[in-house]
Amino acid sequence: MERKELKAISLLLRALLVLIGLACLWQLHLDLYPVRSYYSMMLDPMDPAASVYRRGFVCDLLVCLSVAAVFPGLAVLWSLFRQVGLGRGFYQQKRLRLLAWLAAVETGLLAASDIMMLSFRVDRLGSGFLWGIPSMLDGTMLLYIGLTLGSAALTVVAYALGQSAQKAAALQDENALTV
Amino acid sequence: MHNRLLSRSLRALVLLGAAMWLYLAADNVYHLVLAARGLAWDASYGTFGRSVRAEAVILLALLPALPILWDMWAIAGQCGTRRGFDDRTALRLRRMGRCALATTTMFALLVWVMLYDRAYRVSEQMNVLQGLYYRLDFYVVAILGLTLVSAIGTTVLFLLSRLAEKAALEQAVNDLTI
Repeated sequence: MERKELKAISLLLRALLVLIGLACLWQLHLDLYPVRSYYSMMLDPMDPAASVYRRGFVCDLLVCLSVAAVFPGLAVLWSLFRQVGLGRGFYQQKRLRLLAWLAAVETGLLAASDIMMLSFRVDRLGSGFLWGIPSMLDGTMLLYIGLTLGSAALTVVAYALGQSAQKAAALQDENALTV
Repeated sequence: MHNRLLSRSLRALVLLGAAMWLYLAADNVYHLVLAARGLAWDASYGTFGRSVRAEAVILLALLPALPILWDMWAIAGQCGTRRGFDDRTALRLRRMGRCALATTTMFALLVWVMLYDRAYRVSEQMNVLQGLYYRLDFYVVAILGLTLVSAIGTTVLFLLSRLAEKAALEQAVNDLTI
């Protein structure tokens, strides 16, 4: 592939990363509102629903943390995509390993928020098992489960690519030594 | 052993993705039928029309995900063997890239439809920021994010397919020279 072509692809990928960053910032801004309102409501110990508010606070806080955890991953992806534009080889094992770790943390946070969200919806099962499941797995829930699966897939792929990069780097070092 | 474990975990994720795809498709068809019935009952009411349009675009966005899952299953299986990138991998990656491009387009169309449907929420008295609050709600931002991620996936798959083609060509040259 030509150098110019690679540079254009690298720029396109980084522009998309900037847009994702902006979307995540907006999402974080939207998600912080329920966290603040739950926090102010759960402070009243006389309120009989204080425990529900506390659970809501933890759930929304986990969602906020999972959105915030995207930013370090975006930074690592930025540096990876920058290397694509420079036309260097597959010598990125450290970045890929870091990306795998960050994706694993993201998966954990998303999975925890999924469990919290499901615990809020579990009483919907009372309307009968067959009709309860669709009302429990609503649009928001499905979106979060999908994101968790996607994040888990990214973890495995980044780990596998990191292993390949390590192997390629070892071969390159060996070649450099023998030449 | 290590490769086999990676392959199995990838395949398990693909299976979970397929199960979710089936559930989403069934849920979407159910809602599409409900909205179409509503539209037949009262064509003047805009909500049913909006629902039919949005559900139809979601269904169209779901369709290209099926060949992607199929090819991911095959590539995940290849991770477990000692074979590297070959002609067939390049072909699969290219097909996945094309399907990812179709998904990106459909997601972009969905974002446009959602923004169009939310236009009635914004009045002339609101300033730009207030208008943004009413337009860019959780679902719009989530689908917008998915569109961007899908666009990155398309580009990366295109790059990987070119790499696979190169690797397959080098392998063929090696085979010839040996």
